[in-house]
Amino acid sequence: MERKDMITAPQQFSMLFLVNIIIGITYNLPMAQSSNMWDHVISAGIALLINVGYLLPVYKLYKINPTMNIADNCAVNFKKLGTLFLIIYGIYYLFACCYTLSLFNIFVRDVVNPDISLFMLTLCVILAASYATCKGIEGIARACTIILFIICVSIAFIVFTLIPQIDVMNFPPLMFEGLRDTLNGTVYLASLSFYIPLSATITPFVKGNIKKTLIASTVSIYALFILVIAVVTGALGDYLKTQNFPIYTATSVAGIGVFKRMDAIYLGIFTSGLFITVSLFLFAFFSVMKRLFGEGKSKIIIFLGDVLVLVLSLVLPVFKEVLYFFYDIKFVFIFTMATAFVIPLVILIKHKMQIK
Amino acid sequence: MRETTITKKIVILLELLLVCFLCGCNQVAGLDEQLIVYGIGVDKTEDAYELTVQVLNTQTTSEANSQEDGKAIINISATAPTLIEAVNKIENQTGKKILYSHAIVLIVGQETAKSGIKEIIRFFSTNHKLRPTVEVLISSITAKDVFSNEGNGDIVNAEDIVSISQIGKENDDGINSNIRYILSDLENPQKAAKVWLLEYNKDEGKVACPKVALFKSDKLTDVLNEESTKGMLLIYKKAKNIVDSVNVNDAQLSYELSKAKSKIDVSFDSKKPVFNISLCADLELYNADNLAANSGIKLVIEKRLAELMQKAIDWGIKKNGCDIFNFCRYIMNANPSFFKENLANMEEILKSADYEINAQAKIRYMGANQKISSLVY
Repeated sequence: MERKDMITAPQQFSMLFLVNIIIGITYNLPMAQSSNMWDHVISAGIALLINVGYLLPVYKLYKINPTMNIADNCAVNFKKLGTLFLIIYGIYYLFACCYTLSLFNIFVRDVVNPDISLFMLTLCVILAASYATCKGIEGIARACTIILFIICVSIAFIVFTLIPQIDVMNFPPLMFEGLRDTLNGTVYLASLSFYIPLSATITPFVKGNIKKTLIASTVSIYALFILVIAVVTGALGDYLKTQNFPIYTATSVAGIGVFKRMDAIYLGIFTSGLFITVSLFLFAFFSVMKRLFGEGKSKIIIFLGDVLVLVLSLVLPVFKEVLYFFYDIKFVFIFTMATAFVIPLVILIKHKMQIK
Repeated sequence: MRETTITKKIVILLELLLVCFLCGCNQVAGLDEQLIVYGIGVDKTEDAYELTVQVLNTQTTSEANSQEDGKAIINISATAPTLIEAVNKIENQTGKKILYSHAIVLIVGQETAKSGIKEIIRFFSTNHKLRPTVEVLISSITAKDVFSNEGNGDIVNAEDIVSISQIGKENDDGINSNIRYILSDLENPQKAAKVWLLEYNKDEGKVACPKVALFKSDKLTDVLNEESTKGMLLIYKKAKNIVDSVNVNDAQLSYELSKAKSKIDVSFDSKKPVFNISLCADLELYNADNLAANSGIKLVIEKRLAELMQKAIDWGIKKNGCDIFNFCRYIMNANPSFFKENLANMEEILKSADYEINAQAKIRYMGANQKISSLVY
């Protein structure tokens, strides 16, 4: 199981970091079932600890056999149950694609430009992402590094231009309205840890210090999130309550001198990040399907997967009934917990038992 | 090898095909097909909204009469039972789609504001092209009249109106009355919104923004007079360029603030909030050439600054019960349990609270006494 395409640990860090930034852009209070964004700084701290816990089985599995990804581990350690696990992972990676893309579609439709053709936008992203997936993880990693650099510059600009607008009176006392907002925020943030099941697939492609990379990406993600929450809450105050996508709103008020109204540029940059995110989840899906059906059939399955992602991403924003289930944080939380923590833990226990 | 070359050719062809669909002009209205809005005015009669938009005159078409042909901007109005219908009417009249991305000001007539502004602001803020930085102003006359007021033969354009409302303000002084700040104030049930009042001087045919309109809930309740407005600006962290005058030994002296910073602290005296407001102001004093530097000018000016702030509190809090200073949030942050217990009657608590105000002035003498400034500092 020697891997041909190899990436470095910093490249893995950049991929995991970017995936979380892109998912974080569509962060919104209604989905978190919360009215107070400021309490989410505590939520982010708790979610950080939860994620460190989530990472342990994935990391232990990697340490046992660094060349095997989660799909290999499922297939090697279990037979029928392994197939079930593979199907769960396949569905999860497709779900992550659909979740990210459909939410992005809602975001574009409601906030950015209702006239834009969502079909064309989604089709282009999926086509480009599928092409990148076919080219392998090395290509995605290289593109990711460049895009992440641009995204980091944009975020730094937004943060620095919003800092002068911060009013300390916009920060209410923490947990002023009780624990509800903090708990809901924790579940919401932990449910968005799509990067852990993703790292379970891509880690065997990485050479370098995995432990440091996983910890560094988790800590950086939440540190950035806490910083953004603090700046956005301080600068926008109660105005946030009227906004569905507060982080995007921050980009529309951020500006210094002639560098104003740059939200259109940010949107372009974030869309390129979306392309990387979708590519990575499709790559993970491809790895699982390859293990399940073999190299030949998996290509047809991937094509079907692409079509499914395209259809679901376009259909989901239209049907509210499906939408509520699909974006229900409890459902997403359980699904993420199962793929990030429970299944790797079951495999780990089984492996330990086999050794004994 | 041959297969790879063919695949490459197919990929290149597909990419070229895709490029044809990716041109941004597809299904997009050109600039000449859109009404580029700079200013929006809303007035409400008993059963209808009158919407006025100040737009860029991109061509000499049906909507521009011969007199207006040469003007860079023109005003277009429509009246309808709802705002969306009024917008639709304008679009139907002109055959163009309204483009809000360049809008810089939204003016609401004073009479209209008395019946509530939330619905109006929400309507425009939900348009994805309109930015939250659009300045909102209340006009003492109808919004339509403000735009059509012709001072020097020209239409008063939205840009000038915004410039007028910006005088004396810093970008981050917290009294910007743009959509973002107003929606923020309206979302907070304890806080009162405040919006600059645009006054029209009939004799000069000019507009000015010397006062601030107060809102309770989303309805205009009162207008601060000029002195109270100055006091409000002083309480708000950084107010500069305020010009005022005092009488010292029968001489009227004028001063201009170059820098002002205030600090608000709250303490509780037997469950009664006591607000301590302290101001540090740097100012430039004029007409003091014939007065000795130690003739008590500093004390007189400090007393005057404190008086202005007291007037703002009396007018805003005690008279109208409008918490334009966000005092409730100070209580909330200082004593959350007290705030929770008294949430329902916060207005009464603020009215009965004690306000201890003090001001410190650093004076810079302008004119003949300029050299002795350092002694007074």
